[in-house]
Amino acid sequence: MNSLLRATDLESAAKKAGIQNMDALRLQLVRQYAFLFDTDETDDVPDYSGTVTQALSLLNGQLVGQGARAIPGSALDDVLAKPGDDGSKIDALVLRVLSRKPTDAERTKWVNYVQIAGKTPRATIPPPKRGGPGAGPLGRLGNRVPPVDARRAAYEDVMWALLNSSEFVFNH
Amino acid sequence: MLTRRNLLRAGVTSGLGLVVSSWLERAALADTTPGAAPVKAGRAKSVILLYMNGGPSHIDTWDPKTGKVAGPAKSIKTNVPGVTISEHMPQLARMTNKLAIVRGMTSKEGNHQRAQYLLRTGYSPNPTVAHPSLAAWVAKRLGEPPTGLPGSVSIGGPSIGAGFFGVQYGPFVVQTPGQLPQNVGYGPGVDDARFESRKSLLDGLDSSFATQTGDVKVVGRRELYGKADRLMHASALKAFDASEETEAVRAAYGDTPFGRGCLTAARLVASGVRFVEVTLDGWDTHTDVFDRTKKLMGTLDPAMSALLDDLQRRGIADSTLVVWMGDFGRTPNINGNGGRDHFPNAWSAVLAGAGIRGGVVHGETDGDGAKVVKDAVTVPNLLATVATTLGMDPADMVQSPAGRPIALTDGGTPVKAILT
Repeated sequence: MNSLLRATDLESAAKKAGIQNMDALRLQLVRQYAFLFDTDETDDVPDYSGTVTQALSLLNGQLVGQGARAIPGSALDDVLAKPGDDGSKIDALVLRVLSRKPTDAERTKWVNYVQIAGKTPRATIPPPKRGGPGAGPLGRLGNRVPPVDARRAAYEDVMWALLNSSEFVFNH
Repeated sequence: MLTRRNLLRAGVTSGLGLVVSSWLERAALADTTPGAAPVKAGRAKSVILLYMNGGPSHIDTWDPKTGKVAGPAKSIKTNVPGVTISEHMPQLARMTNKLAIVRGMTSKEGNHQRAQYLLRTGYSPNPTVAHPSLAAWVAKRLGEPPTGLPGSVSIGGPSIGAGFFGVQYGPFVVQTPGQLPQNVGYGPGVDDARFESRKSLLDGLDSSFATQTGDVKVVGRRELYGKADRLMHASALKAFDASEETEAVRAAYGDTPFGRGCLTAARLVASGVRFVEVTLDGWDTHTDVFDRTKKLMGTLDPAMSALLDDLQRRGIADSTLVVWMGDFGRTPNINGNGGRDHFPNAWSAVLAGAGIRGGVVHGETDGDGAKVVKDAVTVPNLLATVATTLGMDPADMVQSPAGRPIALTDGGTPVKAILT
């Protein structure tokens, strides 16, 4: 969980979005994720025991869901704000999450993805209901963000895939 | 919480000699009747395991005694002549003709974590191998149902994992019984199309990482993601949501997490899930055993009896095996805090449903419930009985990653006397 927070910079995004109660955010994260990862966060040696519950949380849950978004202050926003072409942005993003540069094949593939998907308009999807799934400080954080354009959304998809990758999970 | 780390720790600190004791136990207790008729097996399609976490007192539940070891509760007659159980299970007393009560259970593991491992895997913990649970064997050998639901589900407890079979055969853990699991729907901003394109990005990343590392853990994790994806889109996903049931059905099970867990178990089995474990915690009654056990039976009695009725109503009673068991029994001696302590020497387990002869009491303890005096049953034999009703061979063998042959049970043989 700590590596997810580091890779996404969710906490600085939350600060920027004016979420005052960082303790509530942390508490929500711990409540939702401590069980999933079945680790004792105090000793920081994860006992990696994968479960479907954990996979579902990474696929659809708020931590990765919001962490992959181009929210101001987040890691992805930071990368997108830097000058440079798509290739150098992909490089920066992969370095940030996987601590390595992408291979040439990966770079070509993902640049291609953000350029093609970036031109395809997306359906707008309503934000989560108050008190329903997706609520709480993490949900509020997402709701304060204006809808992103298709290109930023395509970058979010790449970020999401990186955060869900086995390489990220096993190398942290 | 039962984690692999804790188990390994427990395994390391325990003595050697386990191997010897379990071998002796087996040699002494195995059913060696020569030329016995072959067991008719394989009627069960699914198992519902009611796991009594902490170790229920046998004397205060299924094996009541009189005299100084008895508690204040009376025993009551059941609908099977000559068989009595605790007065706090009146509904189960009316359907004892469906139950096989095994009063001759015996084991050597008096520590919770070690016993819980033994009860789930049929093996005492051993630091050199992480044994797959019986649920994992069932998930591996009988597979995932076509409804998209997992092969194995654990409700109300983490249970234990699939050991060296890999995470993909572990149970799907339900935190809140009776409700849809968390995160089965897309996150905000995601729809079918976006999920699919994200998935293909992830597949690309993971397949090159798998090739590059050649690590079985990566393969296991990818299968796990496949399972999560199938679950999200499962036609039978609503089986987790018990709010569809009528008020009368829900009330019969009792308004408790365990009751809702049992109802969910019936719904999951009706949708093809092969192994469901439902945990009822709180049996570790070192203090105040009588009040606490009475309260627990107040939860157990409606839930378990409603489950047996409901399986009948759904037409799946003949293809579903229900098993009741816990860590171990509790001491005949009542301690200074009005409690009873751990007692693996003699205890009870109960089976009902597919392939099981009802109205049978198998095994017997002495007057104090301190010693099995007739028809002792070991944990490997109990699990071999469960496997047999599913049509699985208790001696089914696989190789551990270290190249050691590991059988489904540790030399267990089925208890033929309780099989139909």
